[in-house]
Amino acid sequence: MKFPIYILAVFALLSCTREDPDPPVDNPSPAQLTLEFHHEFDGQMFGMQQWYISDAGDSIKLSRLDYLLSNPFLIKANGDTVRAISKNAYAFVKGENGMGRWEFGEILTGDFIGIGFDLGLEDRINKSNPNQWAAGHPLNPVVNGLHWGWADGYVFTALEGRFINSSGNEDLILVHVAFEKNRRAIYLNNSFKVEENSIVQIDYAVDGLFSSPNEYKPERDGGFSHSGDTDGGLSELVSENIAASFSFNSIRPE
Amino acid sequence: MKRAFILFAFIGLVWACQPEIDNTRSDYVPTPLGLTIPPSLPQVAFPSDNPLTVEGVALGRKLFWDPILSADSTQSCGSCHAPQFAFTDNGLATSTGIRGQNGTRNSMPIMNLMYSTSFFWDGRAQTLHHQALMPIEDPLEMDDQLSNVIQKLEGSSFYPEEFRKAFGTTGITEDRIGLALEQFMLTFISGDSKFDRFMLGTAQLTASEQRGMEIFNGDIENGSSGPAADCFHCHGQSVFSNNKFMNNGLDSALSDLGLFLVSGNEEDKGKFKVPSLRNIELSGPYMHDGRFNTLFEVIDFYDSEVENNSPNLDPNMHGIRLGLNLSQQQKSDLIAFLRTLTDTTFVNNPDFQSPF
Repeated sequence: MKFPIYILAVFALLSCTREDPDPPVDNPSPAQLTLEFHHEFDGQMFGMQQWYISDAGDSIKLSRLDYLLSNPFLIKANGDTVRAISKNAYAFVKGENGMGRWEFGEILTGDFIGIGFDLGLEDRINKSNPNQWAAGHPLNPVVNGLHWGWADGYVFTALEGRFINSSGNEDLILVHVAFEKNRRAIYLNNSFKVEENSIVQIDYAVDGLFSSPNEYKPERDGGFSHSGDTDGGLSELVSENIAASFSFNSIRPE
Repeated sequence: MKRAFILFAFIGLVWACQPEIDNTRSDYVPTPLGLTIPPSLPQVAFPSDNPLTVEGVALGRKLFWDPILSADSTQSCGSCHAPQFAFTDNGLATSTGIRGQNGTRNSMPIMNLMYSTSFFWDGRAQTLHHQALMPIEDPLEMDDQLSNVIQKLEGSSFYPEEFRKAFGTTGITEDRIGLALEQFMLTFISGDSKFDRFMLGTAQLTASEQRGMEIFNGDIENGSSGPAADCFHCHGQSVFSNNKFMNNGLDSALSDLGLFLVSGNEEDKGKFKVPSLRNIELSGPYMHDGRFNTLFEVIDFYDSEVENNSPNLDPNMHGIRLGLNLSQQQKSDLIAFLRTLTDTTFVNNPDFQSPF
């Protein structure tokens, strides 16, 4: 008996519509990518208004850790750079939630070897009119509460809290990291594969703000900086530590 | 034919038994009201659950100014929120409510509330339409019950029709009272002060005002040689408030626990909502308890009287607590700048005055 030709055609069509579980890299498809920032202290989820002991032995309690990031990009395995579209070019992350999300947007699936972004804003944006940003935009000053005024732009990181001084009393910490000198490029050199809508988890080691690469002891180094020229280099010390506190953790399907 | 007649008669009977209140017209749509945010203010989204309408705002205006909301019909919202005082209480430190009872806190100004995410000095209301209902039942303010207020409004010669125009039916509910009041208060937008015109390049500041602005925005420890009062950290951007709750160091021993009374968190003791400084010239006395009568007293406090030992003193007071050491001239300059935030167009807007 001859096989009816229409049955063959149905089989052919079925085989064409079956989903490929592992699409080859040379046949990329669109996927949504989100960056998710997890705040940790000594590897545990970080909480505001809780006392922690820094590596230098100081008792630290933070009440605010808000920051602005910009210009996210991915490096593909072939060396090409993939940038987020402009509406996703900025992120405001509030430390009090223990986690923050940044919609990178749509990319093509494939292999990547690194991910990068800036702490802070380039001067052109930093000094621009803050009222230009739509409601809900990360740079809308009502959203982030980090705008410092037309002359000075935005605070890139607001680090606020308390520490116990050598007399055993609580004292204040306020370090507002700002200005072009404290904009830091952050690059996480990790290979990962994006095969579908995915979330990249990036850890932010809050303990690192007080330890790496620079030891920061508020009583010794000062608990106060508005990133001026008379803070003894404190804002630069802290911004270096912030930049070093981000690390790639993992990627997972959305 | 007879069966058809019976059927029609039955339908007619059922129709006649429908409740009278439901006079909703499916095609009825109140007139949308679009508000323009002045260019000197940040962009903001209005509450999506309560779109502003001409009729809703008109109803809210009547409710705001009508003493029918209080138990003995002596107190309206406007009794403690007078336009010429930037919608505060006529220069009083704390308000006098129904039957001459004294309140415990200073009446807060009402303006630019679209930027707020919680209300009252202690943040006990999360939305403006919930906030609007609370003074009605507060025993020190209007001391009525909302159920009683609804009855009074239902018996009015005009409110049922006003509610129908605003919401499509004559039904009067707590929710609708709050929504109408919210709509009216959201129209209180202040963004036409001399400072706003200066930012837009259409007005010039005097030398004193300019110096005051530099002191206001002066950053303690910024390496600059000029005087600095560091005001902008809490009263920053063009809203002149960060809408946070902070302890600015008024007292070393707290008599009013502020946000703690709502949250129960130890670290919230002594924290109060940071008010906007817009129209500050008109809204005295100052602080949550109205303890300072003049702006000079306020500046003197920040200059040298901040209590370093106040529980939960905000870290943003780090530099200020050590003293500003402003001269009398610098204090005068700072106040001259603060007076540029007065918006007479706003406080004299006839749309905000009593319709009665």
